[in-house]
Amino acid sequence: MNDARSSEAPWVDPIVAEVRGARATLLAAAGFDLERLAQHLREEQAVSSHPTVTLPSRQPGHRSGEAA
Amino acid sequence: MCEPKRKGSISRFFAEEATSQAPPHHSGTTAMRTRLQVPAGVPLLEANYRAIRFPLAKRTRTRRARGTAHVHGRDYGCRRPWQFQDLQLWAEWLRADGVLKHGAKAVIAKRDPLVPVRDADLEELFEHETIAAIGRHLLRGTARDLVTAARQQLTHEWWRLRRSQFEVYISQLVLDEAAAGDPEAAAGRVAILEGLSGPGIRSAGAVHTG
Repeated sequence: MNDARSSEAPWVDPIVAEVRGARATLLAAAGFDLERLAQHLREEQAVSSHPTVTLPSRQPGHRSGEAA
Repeated sequence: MCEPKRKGSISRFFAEEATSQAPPHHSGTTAMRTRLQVPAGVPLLEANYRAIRFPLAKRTRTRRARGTAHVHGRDYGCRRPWQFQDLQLWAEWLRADGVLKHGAKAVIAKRDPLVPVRDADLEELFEHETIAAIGRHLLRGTARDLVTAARQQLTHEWWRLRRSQFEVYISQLVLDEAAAGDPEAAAGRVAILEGLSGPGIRSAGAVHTG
């Protein structure tokens, strides 16, 4: 049975794969240019119904400000 | 493998199997390949050959669950028997109450990850109803990947029960990602994310790198 170990393949989480696919699509739409992607996001943000906040910058070593 | 102890036991079946002339890479019939979902050209490994024979042994919930896990083992990334490393992965996401027996997580953590799981191990570690549930999930095929299913359930529970205790922000990029993919699933994600605040995406000159 141990010979089956040689046929092990990396496990792919389908949800992670779907999110990464969506991210790749967005990047491709921006021509893989981060400046263009950020500009596109800013334009979407300007017309979005979601409120926008500006958070204080986090300092290194301040764990209270870190994400969980 | 265990020594045969009584007629019709799974141990006896394995003992007979081990001494039989069955080749380790049985070519397999079309029916076996269909049932095991092994494509033509891929060797039908000894482990799979044994898995399909599990139902021939005396049927119990435990044996059915473990046998089915063998069949679907490749959905965990490889074709191999169920091992303690699989249980260790699950245990991280499982509630102890009503699912695992008292002290089971500690027992699972101490075991050699590469040791195959036996019937007696399952009965020692899991509540009876859980073993039946594992079998149902695997047989139905709707949650072949139980780790993913457990993470999904955990995520749903977090959003339902704990979300209100946090101040949650989301970026425009993640909103776009959530809106992509399967339309029905995307609509559900977007509905959940509705109303969340997003940190403003500043121009390049204003980005803090510290």
